Amino acid sequence: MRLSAYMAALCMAIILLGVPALSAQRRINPVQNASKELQGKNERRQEGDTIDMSKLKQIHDANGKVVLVDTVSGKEIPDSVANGLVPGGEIPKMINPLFHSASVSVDIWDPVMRAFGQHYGLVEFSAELNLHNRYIPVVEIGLGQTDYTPEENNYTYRVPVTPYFRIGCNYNFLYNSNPDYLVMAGVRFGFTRFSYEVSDVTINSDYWGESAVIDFPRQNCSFSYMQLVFGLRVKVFGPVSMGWYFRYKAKLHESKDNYGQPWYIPGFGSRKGAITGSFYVAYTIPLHKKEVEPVVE
Amino acid sequence: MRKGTDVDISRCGGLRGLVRILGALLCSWLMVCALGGCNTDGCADNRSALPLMAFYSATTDAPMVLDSVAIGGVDAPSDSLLVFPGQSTMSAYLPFRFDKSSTSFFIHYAYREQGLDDPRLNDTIKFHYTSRPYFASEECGALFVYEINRVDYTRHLIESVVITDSVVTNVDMERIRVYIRTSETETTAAGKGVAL
Repeated sequence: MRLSAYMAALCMAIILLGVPALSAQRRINPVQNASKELQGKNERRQEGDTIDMSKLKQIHDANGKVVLVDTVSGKEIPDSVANGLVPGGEIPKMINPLFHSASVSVDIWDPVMRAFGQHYGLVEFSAELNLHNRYIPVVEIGLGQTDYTPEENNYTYRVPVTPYFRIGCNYNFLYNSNPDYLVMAGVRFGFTRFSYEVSDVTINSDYWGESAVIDFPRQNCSFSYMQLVFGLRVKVFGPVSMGWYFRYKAKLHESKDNYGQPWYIPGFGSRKGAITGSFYVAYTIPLHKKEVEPVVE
Repeated sequence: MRKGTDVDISRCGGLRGLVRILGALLCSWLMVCALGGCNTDGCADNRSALPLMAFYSATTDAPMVLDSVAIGGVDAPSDSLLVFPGQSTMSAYLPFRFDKSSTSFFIHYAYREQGLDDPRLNDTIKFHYTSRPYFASEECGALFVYEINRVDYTRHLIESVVITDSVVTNVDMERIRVYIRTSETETTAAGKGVAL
C-alpha cells in the first residue's frame, strides 16, 4: 500500500515537471517590430557598386543598336543585353540573309556501298536553298537499279534504271554560327513508280521429285515513304563541302501486288531495315555579297 | 616580326581541309559499320509454303500425340513417307504438288493391338487448291503459295478436318486440324500417347 503511494507520487512529480518543459518547446515567439525598410536592400552597399545608367555615355549605331562608350579609352562596346544577343534578352535575330546560299550535291553512298557488296542503287543528286542559314528546302532526285541473283537462293530480281524523287526540308541548328558547319535535322517525302521482275525462279519439291523454272509476270508498283534525317556538313575547301545523313525510313503507301512484295524500291532501298544513310559532296553558291571589312591602318 | 613558333595552325587551310575530310570519312565508315550491324540475315520463315497439319481428339478437342501412324503422299515416288510408325508426332508438314490442283495424303494406323493395322482402314485426305508464284523476301526467295478451296477425306478414324487458314504461305503456322475419334480413356499431348 505504501509502495503504491510512493509510485503515484513519483508519477505526479514527473508529470508536473514534464508539462512545463513540453509547453516551453511549443511556444512561438511572435516577431515584433519586424524591419520593413531593410528588406531587399544591400546593407553593405557602397558608392560605385551600382552603375548609374543615366551617367553612362552611350550612342546608337546606324541600326539603332546601343553602343556603350568607354570614356577612358574611347572604345565603343555594343550592349549585348540591350541588343538581345544573350540568353534572357530578346529572341536572337538571324544574322544571315534570307537567300544565303544554294547548293547542289551528289550522293556517293550507293556507289560506295555497291563496291562493298550492296546489290542495288545508282546515284542521287540534290538541290537545296539555304534560307537564313537556318531553313533549307531540299529536292532530291536519283536513279535506282538492281540486277541481283543471290548465290544461295532461287531467283533473279531485276529493277531497270528508275528515277525517284524526294522533297523535304532541313533545319540547321547552327544557324547563327559559321555557315561552313551545319548540323541538321529534317524530313523527306519520297515517291517512286517502278517495275520489277522476278525471273529464273527454280522451285523444287524433294518429296514429290518435281522441279520447275518459272518467271513471274512483270509487276508495276507505286511506293511513297517518308524519312527523318539527321546529318552534318563541313566545308572542305572553297565552295566544296562534304557531309552525311542518317535516314530513318518508313513506308506511307504501297500499291497492292498479287505476287509478293518488291524487295528493292528505288529511293527507299531494301525493304529490310529501317535505317539507311547517305554520304555526299556538295557545291555551294553564295547568293549574297560578303560584307567587305574596312581596312584598318 | 613573328617567330616560327607563332604560326597560327588554324590558317593552314590544306591541313584543316585534310582533317575535315578524314573526319567526314571516319564518320561515314562508322555509319556503314553501324548500319551493317542492323541488317539481319537468313530466312525466319520457311523457304516454301508447307501447310502444317496437327492432330486433335474429336472427344476432347485437345492436341494428340500419335506414336504409330504412317503419313505419306498418294502416288509419292518410291512410296516415301512423311511420318514413320514408331515416330511420335503431333503434327506433320504436307507438301503440296505445285504443278497440280490437288494433292492426296494417306494416314495409316499401325496400332496392331487395337486391330487397326490394316491398309483398308487407312484414311485419305485430298486437298483441292489453287497455286500462284509469290516473292516472299530477299532471304526466303520465291515460292508457290496455295489457297485451299475444298477438302475431301475418308472417315475411318477421322472425325473431321478443319482448315483454320485457307491461304498457305511460308509463314510457319498450323493451318489444318485433323480430329481423330478416340476412346474415353485417352491421354492428350501432355501424356505419353493415346488410345485409339
